[in-house]
Amino acid sequence: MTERPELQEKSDAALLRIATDERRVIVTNNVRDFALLVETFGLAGESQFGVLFTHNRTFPRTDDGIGALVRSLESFVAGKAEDWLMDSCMYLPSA
Amino acid sequence: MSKPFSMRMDDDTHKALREHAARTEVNPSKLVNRYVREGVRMDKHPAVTFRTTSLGRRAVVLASRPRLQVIDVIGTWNDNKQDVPKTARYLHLTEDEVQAVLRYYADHRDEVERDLEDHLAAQRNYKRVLEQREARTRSRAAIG
Repeated sequence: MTERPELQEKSDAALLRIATDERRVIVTNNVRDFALLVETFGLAGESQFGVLFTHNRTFPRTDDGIGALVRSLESFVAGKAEDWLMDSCMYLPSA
Repeated sequence: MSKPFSMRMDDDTHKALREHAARTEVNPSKLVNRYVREGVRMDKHPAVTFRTTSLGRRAVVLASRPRLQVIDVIGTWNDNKQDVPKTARYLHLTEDEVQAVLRYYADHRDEVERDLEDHLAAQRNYKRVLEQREARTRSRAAIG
C-alpha cells in the first residue's frame, strides 16, 4: 500500500474490487471490516479474488513478524492455482 | 448521556446539514454531535482524522496514510515493546507521527483499547467460525 499512494484514499470495498481486477489476493489483519466485506460481496453475487487474513498473535507486527509472514505466504502459494482463493477467504497458516 | 444545547447556525450551513443528514439517513442532531466531537479531537490532535467504515467511524492517521487506523499504530507499538523508532519504521511513518498518535491514545486510552480489543476479538472469533465451517464441510463430505 505504501508503494501505491493512490490506494490510500480508497474504501475497503473499492480496494477489494481493484485487487480483483488485478487478480490479486488481499492480505490483511483487518478481519473486522474485511470479513463483513467478503460476506457482503457474496450476498450481492459480486466476485472477489480472495482475502487472506492474518492473526496478530501468529504474525506480530514486528521486523521478525514480516519474515514469518513472507515465509508463510511463499509456502501458502506454492503449488496452488492463481485463483485458488476466488470468492472466499481464510487465515494464512504459519509456515 | 446527552444534554440539550441550542445554537445558531447560518442558513447555508443549516441547509447543507439537513441535506447531508437526509442523504446519509443520520439524524441531524447526531450528525452535529459527531462533527463537534471529532472536530474538537482533530483540533487537539491534527495528526488524527476520522473515516467511515462499514462498521462505523474509525480514528485514522491523517498525514498521507488515511487507511492506517490509530489501533494499527497502537497495536504495532505494543508488538514492538513500545519502541517508537521500530513502530515508525514498520509502518513507514515518521517518529513524530507515531508520537502524535501516542498523544491521542493518552487522551482517549479507554476508547482506543476497547477498539483494539474488538479488532483482536474479531480476528479470534472469525477464525473459529471458519474452522467450524470447514470441519462441518469435511464431516458432511465424510458421511456423504
